Amino acid sequence: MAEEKAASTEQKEMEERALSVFASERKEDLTALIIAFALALLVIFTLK
Amino acid sequence: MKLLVAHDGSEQSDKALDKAAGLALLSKGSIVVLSVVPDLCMMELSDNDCKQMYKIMTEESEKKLNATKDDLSKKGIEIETVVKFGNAAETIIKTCNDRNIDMIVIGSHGRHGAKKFLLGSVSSKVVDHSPCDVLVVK
Amino acid sequence: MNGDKRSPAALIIGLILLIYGLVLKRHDAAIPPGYLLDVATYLKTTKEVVTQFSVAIWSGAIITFFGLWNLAMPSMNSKFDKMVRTPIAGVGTIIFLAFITRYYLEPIFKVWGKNAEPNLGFDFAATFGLNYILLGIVIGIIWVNTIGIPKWMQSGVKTARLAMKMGVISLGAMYSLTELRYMGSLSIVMVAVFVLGTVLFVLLLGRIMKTPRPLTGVLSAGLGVCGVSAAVAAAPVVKARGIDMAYSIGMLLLVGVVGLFTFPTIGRMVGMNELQFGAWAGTGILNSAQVAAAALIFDPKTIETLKVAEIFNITRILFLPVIVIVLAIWFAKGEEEAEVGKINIGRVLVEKFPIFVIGFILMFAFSSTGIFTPKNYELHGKNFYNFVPEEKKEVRTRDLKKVQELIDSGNVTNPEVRAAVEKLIADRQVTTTAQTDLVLKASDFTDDKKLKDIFKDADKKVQATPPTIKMMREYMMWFFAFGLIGLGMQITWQTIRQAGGKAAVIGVIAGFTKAALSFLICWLFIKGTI
Repeated sequence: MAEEKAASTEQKEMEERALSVFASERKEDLTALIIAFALALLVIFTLK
Repeated sequence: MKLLVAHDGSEQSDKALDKAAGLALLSKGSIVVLSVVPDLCMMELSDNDCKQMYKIMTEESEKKLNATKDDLSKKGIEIETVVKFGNAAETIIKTCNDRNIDMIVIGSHGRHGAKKFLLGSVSSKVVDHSPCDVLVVK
Repeated sequence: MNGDKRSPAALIIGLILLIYGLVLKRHDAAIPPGYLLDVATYLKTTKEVVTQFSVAIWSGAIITFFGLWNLAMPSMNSKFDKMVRTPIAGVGTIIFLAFITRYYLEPIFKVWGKNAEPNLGFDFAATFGLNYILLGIVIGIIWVNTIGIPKWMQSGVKTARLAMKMGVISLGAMYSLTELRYMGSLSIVMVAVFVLGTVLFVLLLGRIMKTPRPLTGVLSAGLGVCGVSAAVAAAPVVKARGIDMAYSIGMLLLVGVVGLFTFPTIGRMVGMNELQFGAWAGTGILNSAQVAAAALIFDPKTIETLKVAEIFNITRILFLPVIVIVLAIWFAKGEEEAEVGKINIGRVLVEKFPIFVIGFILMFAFSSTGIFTPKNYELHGKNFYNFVPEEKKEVRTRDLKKVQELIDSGNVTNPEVRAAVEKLIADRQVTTTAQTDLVLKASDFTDDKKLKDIFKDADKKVQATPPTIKMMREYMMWFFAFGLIGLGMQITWQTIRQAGGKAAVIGVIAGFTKAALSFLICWLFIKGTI
């Protein structure tokens, strides 16, 4: 019983390892884009 | 007796597997065959890439292991096959802890066997750090 | 992952940063100079104390906040948790490392290098380019290969890639259209030649050495296009197996790392300028992130080299689908069962199309509307100018006297130049972009070095980077420093040692040839600067 649990957590661990913080690369790219633009806008509004 | 065989497809590991099979038959025990696949996921690779790599790396090992599994099951040995990612020595040791293994059976050299060393790096690390007994097959 | 759901790591890191910032600030005020400020003075980092303080306080506060939250409530698997709360400890650690390398390690090496010069005959810090970018990568490599990355840091390290992308997208704002056009066209030519050339070369080597075709295919993509990611992209169309991937990725990483550390030193030794080195790095360095790393190691102060190199990098990435198709055809031709798998190609094109490149282009378009440039600033060539009359921008009276002498001598035969210089004397400073070009040309009419310097200086005095751009450059560099420390942390001996056999030989031959050829072309044939 304990072994089956061990096996399934291993499986999950392996999948988690393949995934990074983002579920997909698209999302990561979009997040990068959004944050970069948000920062740019912030800079414009505060420093210009 | 519960045995853990570390298998990487090399000749030595096949020998180790034979040895383990023999022991399992004698003791009416079971075998866990573990294949550790290098973790090649790096920053350059996207998640899809990593998943793809995972698939490629494990496919082969799984195929081989399944063939072995069928083989040995026919002989009446209780056998389980596992494929894992990561550092070979560490994973072997961790598995032996997680699954209450009685003895690890490992070949003296692996795929990158440079026979000028007395013992392959993985096997020697396992011997040094494993809390379970280790049988090194030459 | 079970044990650390309540890990105090983030809290500890956050507090360290916060306390550091506060100590720094306290000693910056009127209270008697403290230990940290003395260290800063010794290391000549006093100018950066303000930046240090802001970054430390802000990041420290945010991380401490999350640290407390993490300690109080275990992380569930919600998206927010996965994206922010779990990585925050690792993020904080990398920020902390970025601090240490930039404000302590680099200056220390600088001082030591200078002190060692009389004994060694050269300044080792300068020659080997021991700047904070390089040191950050090295620390990352040492860390991962000795202690290893603790569990609580792992997801934080993975955000490094995000940081690099944000850096590249932000970089898009730093280009002018002329620069983009020039660098773009140069890169298309060089990249096309070298990518296709290397791919074919490797395929040829593979045939000569009789390596298995899947391995050859993956290697050619990796060595030709952009390293590891190209290799993985090509893997399905050449039916690569686990062992092919292990050999090639190990090899690509090894060659990549060697290039990363040797290119900048060589470039510096032969005196390459930013354009030459950027082109060389952008062509010859295998892996995408390492291109930016090499450019920044070569030149962390200005970002000119980085700009060139990234254009080349992006061009290379855009060639990837082409190469994948080429390899698919090549592979299918050699197989008996012609299973070309057209579906795979389509998917590769869609999947592999880098959205962040679109982001880069968007940012460039956005910036070319002039939105980042405030009223009094003008972008001219690659510099920003502010012509608002100010005393500090004026040329010194005795220098103006010398300039007047030149005019009186009648040697300045070009009437436009003469008019510009006369206006300079009248206004005591340069007032338009056209004028500054002409003033610089005035150097041609005299051999007096002092006069030439006066003209150069007059131009420099009215150069000013707007605070918007300054801020963007600053945080962009933090993104890159962060990302590259993370990069270092993913260069493991374990992966490199997978390299083996014929893959290693092919990798070394092709990698070296590519590096050498691109070096020669860049050094000998790329003239002029940006």
